[in-house]
Amino acid sequence: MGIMLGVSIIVAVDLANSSAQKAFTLSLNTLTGHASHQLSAGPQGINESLYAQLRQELGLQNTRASVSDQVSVAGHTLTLLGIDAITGNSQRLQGFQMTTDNSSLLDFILSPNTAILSERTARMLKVMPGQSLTLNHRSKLHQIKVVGIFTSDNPAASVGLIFCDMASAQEILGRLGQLDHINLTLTPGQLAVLKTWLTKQDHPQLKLITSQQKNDAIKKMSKAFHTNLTAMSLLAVLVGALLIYNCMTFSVLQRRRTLGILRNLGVSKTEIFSLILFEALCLGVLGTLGGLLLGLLMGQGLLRLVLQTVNDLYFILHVSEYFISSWSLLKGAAVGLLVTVMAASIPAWEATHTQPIGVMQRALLEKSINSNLPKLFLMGLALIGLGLLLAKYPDVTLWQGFFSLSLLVLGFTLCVPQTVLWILSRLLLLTPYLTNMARLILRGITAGISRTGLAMAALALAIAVTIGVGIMVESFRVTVASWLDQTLSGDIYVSTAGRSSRRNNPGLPSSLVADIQQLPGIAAINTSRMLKVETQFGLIRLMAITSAHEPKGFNIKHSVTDFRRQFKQGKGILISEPMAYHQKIQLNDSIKIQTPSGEKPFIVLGIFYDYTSSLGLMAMHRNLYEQNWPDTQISVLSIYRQHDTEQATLLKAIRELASHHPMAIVVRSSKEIRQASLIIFDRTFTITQVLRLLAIAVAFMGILSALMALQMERKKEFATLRAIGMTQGELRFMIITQSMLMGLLAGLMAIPLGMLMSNILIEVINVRSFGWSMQQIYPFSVMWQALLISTSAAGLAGIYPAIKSANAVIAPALREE
Amino acid sequence: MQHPLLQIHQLTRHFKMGDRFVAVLNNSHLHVQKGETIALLGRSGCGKSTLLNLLAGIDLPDSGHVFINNENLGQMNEKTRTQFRRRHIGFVHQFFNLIPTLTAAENIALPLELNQQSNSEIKIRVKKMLKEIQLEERADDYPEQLSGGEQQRIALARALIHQPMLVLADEPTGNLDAQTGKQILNLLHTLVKQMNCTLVMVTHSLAVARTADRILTLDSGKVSEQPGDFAW
Repeated sequence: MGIMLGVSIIVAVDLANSSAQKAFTLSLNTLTGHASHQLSAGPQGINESLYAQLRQELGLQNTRASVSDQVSVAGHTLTLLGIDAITGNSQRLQGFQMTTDNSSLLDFILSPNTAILSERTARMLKVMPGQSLTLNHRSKLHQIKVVGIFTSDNPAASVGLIFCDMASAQEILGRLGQLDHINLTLTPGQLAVLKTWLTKQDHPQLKLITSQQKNDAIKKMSKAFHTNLTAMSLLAVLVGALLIYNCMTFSVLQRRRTLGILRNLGVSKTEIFSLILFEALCLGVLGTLGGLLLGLLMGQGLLRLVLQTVNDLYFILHVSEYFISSWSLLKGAAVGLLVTVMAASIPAWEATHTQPIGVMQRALLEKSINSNLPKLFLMGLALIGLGLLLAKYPDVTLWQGFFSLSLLVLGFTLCVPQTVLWILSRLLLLTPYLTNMARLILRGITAGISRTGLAMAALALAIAVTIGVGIMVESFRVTVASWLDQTLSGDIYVSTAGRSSRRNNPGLPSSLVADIQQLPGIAAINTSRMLKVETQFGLIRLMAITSAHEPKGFNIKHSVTDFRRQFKQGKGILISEPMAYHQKIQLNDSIKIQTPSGEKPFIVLGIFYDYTSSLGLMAMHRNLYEQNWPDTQISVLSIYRQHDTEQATLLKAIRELASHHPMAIVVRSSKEIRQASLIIFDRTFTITQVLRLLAIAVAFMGILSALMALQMERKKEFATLRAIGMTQGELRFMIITQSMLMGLLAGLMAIPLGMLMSNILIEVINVRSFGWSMQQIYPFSVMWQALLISTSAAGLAGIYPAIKSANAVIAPALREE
Repeated sequence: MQHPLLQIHQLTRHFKMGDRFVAVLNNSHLHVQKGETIALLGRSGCGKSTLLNLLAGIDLPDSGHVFINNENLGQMNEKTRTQFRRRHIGFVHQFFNLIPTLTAAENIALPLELNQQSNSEIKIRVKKMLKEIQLEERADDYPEQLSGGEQQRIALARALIHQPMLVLADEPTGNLDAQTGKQILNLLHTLVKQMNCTLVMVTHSLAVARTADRILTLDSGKVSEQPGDFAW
């Protein structure tokens, strides 16, 4: 059971992580095909005439135009992909076979608003050829007819894709005459010709990059997230190993007497050692097989959470297939078997080096272990010190951050047994005032410190993880909430729908803006234009804001002196903290942004806190924006109401005005936005909560097996107590209380470690991963919840051993030597 | 006539050995008067310890009854039987069975604590008992720090500290050398007499058995007063 659970956690986390990464790669490959290069012109797109020029003037036949965007169909978010079906040998359709007859392909090419789907997508949408689908793109509904179904060599890659001919896709996506980019498969000669041709064109925004560069840039964005998941899977290996160790110890202990008899009969230590290891290997094989199956099931659930987070934080992945990587299974199996054998070797050594003559010898063994505990404690302190030193070292990398966290964890584990002994020895100073029951409870823990110490260390570790992560999440939530309060200074926000789309939105209708301005009860209106621009760091969101807005809504981290005046005068821009961190941008550095008139440098005047994205955000004054972009559109209105105006009345009036416009417009109060943001925030951390629960479950199993081992060793002691007159209820009470005390101690010890962990998570890992800094708070609720979880988990773990011990037959144990 | 302190009536206990049931006690009877010391002799595996466990209420018979001071153990539930045991029975084991995590004094105090005696009362009685067994100076030592003889003296003290009606001793000298065994036996009889307890002692040694008021044998599942063949 222990091995199974340990292996399953390792496999589940690893499979979820590798599946998410593969989904990511497949999503990218499906959209870019196997082209060697990509030609793009930023979010404004490429005029489709350029595509014809490339094919006709330069003779680049291996060229594919691309238009794609997210649409929603029957509650599913899918990617609508426009393909140029007429030119044939489509890269994107390589490996695809139509399951319907050829006339359907003709329909697809000739009839407008037709689509073909992969078999899986059609099954997901429950649609057949000839039926219609209603697509929702930026709240605008479109009807398309499914004319064909295809199968593919790689079915997973095409799940969630709807293929339309180019003209239909352009119409649905509102991109008539425009392409997102052009994918090209170029020979070195063609590349040279194209480069020369491009320099002669009057298209400064045109950019030719290799597909590899494009994919790397996108992958880089979520690298930190996957690194964090990898670290989680390493933690799973550690916790799983601990669980397997406990399980094997228990298994060997159960047969200590038999092993002792075998030794007395002349079986050598080596033979016994090999016997235990062989048995461990057999158990390991069975447990590992079970663990692999369980891991496969658990991984699927975890993947859903991981993809949800990737979709919330980074970009929509149309691939959500669960990929069963043989490497993950192999890794799980190897860890399962190796750790089982290694873990069994410790109790095997113990079994071959101690005489099974009862508790007295056990006490002597414990005594010898006790004498080593101060040394372990000092080693632990040294490791904790080293871990903290490393974490505070400037320019520490993400992996170094994890390494310092591991040192902290390892050091702490070594400190636990001695600390427990110290605390209990202080409590035992009260001996004259304690009952024998209390003494038995306290001394039972100290007497079996080799078992109890390890169990408490495992529990404390799991609880420390929950405290550390709890403090981090809570600190983050408080930071985000206060940031939202500060940023959302307006009362009502009006924006166009679909701002998460990869493409720039058209602005709000000017008539609507004018109508809103005429409404009574409005004190002020700030406007901003949101769009994505191409920079030397890739596609980054830019926010052009009006003077009244600036920079009140920003929470500035660093800035040049007199940045407000300089910002208003259009002398530079502000950038978000994650962007500054990831791209190593400092104040007064310049950022090259692709404008319609070519690439231009913009000076960084300030860095502001921003938690909307870890990918980056830039803000510039509207005047500066309009000097460089011929765009007067408005994406967002932040409306301030007069004090005597009811928010609900104003909200209703604005919604009424918005409803007269055909395009989808979102009107929300700042409170609604705040709530929606926090919902997404909480959803992002669901996976963290699940992993916390898993850690507690593993710790529960750990303490259960340790208690079972302990109860087995104290069988005679319990039988004696029962013979003297301790009732079953009293014995159960004693064991459960002892277990709860262990849980309480583990919980108490976990608090300082959890706080240190949260410090490293907030100051090092979070900053390195996402570039977000946050205020650190130590919520009391996290501490008492941790104590409650730890005590009750241990108490629950104590129930079964308590019942088993209380119901055990007394007589045979009394006569045991 | 005075009621016997201990009575067993048609006591039967079977154990499953492989596919068949073996009767360790078969319709056995026994009467022991208050203050009597009884030695129960028998071959190894004849069921002496089983009988002792049945007398203590640790084990239950398949049929028949055990009466202690006219109270039928079989009619009590597990909790009442345990509480009866803690008040009225003292148990001495061959392998001492001291609690390794408690000191000598704490081990002795255990039955008093289970019987809810006050702290001051416990202190006085434990001190007195330690003096009786001449181990006052070892009061704070743990069992592992004591010799076999010392451990058994502590075990005797623990069995008698609460002045039980009945003391059950399972091979009390079986794990000790002859000299120490003799001392322990003397101490056991002294304490039992002093506290006016009834003693049932299981042994396979005739020499040990002869120290008792009455010797009973257990053979083929029956308890009898026949001396029998002691050449086991």
